[in-house]
Amino acid sequence: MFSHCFKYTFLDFIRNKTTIFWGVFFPMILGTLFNFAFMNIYESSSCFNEIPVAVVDGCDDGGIKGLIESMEESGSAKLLSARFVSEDEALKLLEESEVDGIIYDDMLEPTLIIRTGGGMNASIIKVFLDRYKTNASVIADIMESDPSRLPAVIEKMKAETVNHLELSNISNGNMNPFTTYFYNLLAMACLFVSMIGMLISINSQANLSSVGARVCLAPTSKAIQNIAGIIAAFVIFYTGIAIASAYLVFVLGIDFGISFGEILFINLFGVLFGISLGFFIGSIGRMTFNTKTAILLACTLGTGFLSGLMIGDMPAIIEKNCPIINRINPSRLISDSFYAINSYGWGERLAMNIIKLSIMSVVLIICGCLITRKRQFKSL
Amino acid sequence: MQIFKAFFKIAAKLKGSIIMYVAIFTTIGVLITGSASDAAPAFSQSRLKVVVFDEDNSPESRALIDFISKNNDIIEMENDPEKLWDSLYYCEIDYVLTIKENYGKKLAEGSSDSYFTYSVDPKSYNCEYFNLQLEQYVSTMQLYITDSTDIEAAHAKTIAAVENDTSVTAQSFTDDSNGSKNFKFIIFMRYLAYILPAIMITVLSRIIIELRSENIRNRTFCSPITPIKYNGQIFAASMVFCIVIWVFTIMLSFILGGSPEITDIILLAILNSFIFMLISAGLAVLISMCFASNSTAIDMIANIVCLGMAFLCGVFVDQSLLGESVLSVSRFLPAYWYVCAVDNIGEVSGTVFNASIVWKYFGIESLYAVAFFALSMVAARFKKS
Repeated sequence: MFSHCFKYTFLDFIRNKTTIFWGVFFPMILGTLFNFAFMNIYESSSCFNEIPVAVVDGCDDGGIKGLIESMEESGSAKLLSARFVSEDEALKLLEESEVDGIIYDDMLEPTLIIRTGGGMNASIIKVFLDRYKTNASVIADIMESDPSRLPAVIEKMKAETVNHLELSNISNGNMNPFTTYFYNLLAMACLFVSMIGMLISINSQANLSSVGARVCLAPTSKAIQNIAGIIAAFVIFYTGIAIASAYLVFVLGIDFGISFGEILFINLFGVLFGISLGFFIGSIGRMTFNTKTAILLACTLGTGFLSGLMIGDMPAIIEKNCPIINRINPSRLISDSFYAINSYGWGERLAMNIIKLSIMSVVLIICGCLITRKRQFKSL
Repeated sequence: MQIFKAFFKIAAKLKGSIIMYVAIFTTIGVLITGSASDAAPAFSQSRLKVVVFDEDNSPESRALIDFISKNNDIIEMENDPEKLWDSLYYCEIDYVLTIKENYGKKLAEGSSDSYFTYSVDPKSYNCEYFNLQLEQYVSTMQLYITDSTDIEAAHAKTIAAVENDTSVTAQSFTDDSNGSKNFKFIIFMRYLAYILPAIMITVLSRIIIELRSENIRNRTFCSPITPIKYNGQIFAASMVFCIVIWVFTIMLSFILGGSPEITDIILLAILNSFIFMLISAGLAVLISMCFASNSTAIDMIANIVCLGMAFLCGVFVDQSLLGESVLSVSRFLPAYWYVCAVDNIGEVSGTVFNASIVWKYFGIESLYAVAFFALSMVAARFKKS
């Protein structure tokens, strides 16, 4: 009987082109759009690029001009990309956001004009000028206290700066914070499979669908019908999500920071949870199909939002204010599993996420089966 | 007016789902707006959240920590790599510095060894910015150590030299800082580019699909009603329905924005959202006429259209961060022009308010609304034939 139920539920899902289309193509389409939107965004927004500044000459031997030119000549890593212009032109460039600041090149008192708000670029320009002023201050100080030492100090200033900083990597994972959007995309795709889970449940209830009315006539255990349906849906939609993942990794070339096999492994638990959630919501109450769909959308989008689908920093905000949400939010557990492998490899954190997802899935399936088990419909 | 009435009868039947959809999307909008940082002041030097581990624990290292704390916020954290990495990844902290053992001794000797280890994305702005500050301190200390071997005196002189910082003037290119005054209001207005189409597609499309379902259609066309009247009543009912939802979102934006004073700027922002509401309604009608044959697909379409458009057009991520190739495609989408108008009105993301440009954006948006409604009419006609 199990194989019979499995076969016909499988065929039912396979023949339902809409569900298949959306199950497989939904993450592919959204992934393509995400990929397009985030293309090069890490390099342009998070990675340091030379800061454009306008330099207005204040004296013939402007110290800043000389400093910038000598930095360019020495070939050291460039901090600023300077344009030497008149004051009017500089203000125009600042207004049009062509430059992040205007430096008035005075030998002893360089000043800086920035746009209101400023931000990190303005702060970096300021620290650059501060360093120049600090050196000027040191020279003035030494000239006053012991002028004989001045040549040695100037020589030391001119000497190439020794780098006393040594990078220490805490993790070898992918540092691109925009990757979390793709983790969350796959998490959402897994949870969207809940719509299919709900269909399994609705198709076994006589008051909600005509298929359910027919199925209820058969002298078959509801549990067997439901489990067969869940397994059939799992096989089809796990394959669908795997195809979508392959598209993201191999066609779009998105770097998840983990291997494709590891992505498939996490999808396994994500899809299982998605189906379980839908099956449970479909089983409870006597709400209409539309209401149940709305509840599922609320769960899918709500948990996705809390997991950082729309605002990547959301998990950190939640971790600070209400960390328990991060521990039980299924979307977060799925996306955090990707993140955990990326950052720390296979370990306790991943295991905890997987165990939580598995327990929640099993509990939801058992509850769903218990709710629909003895449901009877009055004779009309 | 039978169709008009039928529209609202269906809406009443679906009220549970409608309330839920409206609640989902507005809650998301409210939470995002709530989590947005306040508008930036005229200028204040960026302060990084720095975790410092002092392995030297000498007067020199303590002096350095004292210097760091002047321009940055020192965060206390345990030395747990997992917690540190999580905090760095989610930007809870910006930089992790470890002052190595014998730092004080090496500094006094002028040793060329490394004094520190640091953990941060080495390509990031934070890394560049903090390293500059650190180098400024260390190199100045070393210059003074040449002059005086007394570390305490060198530190005092260094701090005095470093404190002589550059004078910064923040230049505003407008008379009125609209953005900072109505920041939360404007930010919520921007998120309406996601919220309005999401609500319209998930709710309005569902009602229209129900209205055009076989049974109701057959009953409707039993009576001698012309297609123009039929579609006209659907559009009229849709308009009334959408205006109710739009008024609700505007009220919400006033609550979130702390009841801003109604100025020309606020009125322009409201007008902008009204035009975008028309676009969203047109899009929802078009989708219900053309693409969606059942309500399961509606949620998927809503997600793809709304999330895709929101990310491509700079709703969740500033337009200034998106590449030129992305923006060149976004220009074909109505949300791009809506976000441009919001940014210009609110003077956010470095834009400067310009009334003529804003009206140009309104014109482009209106064309999209007209186009969507016209296409819906064509689709309705085509489906009927």
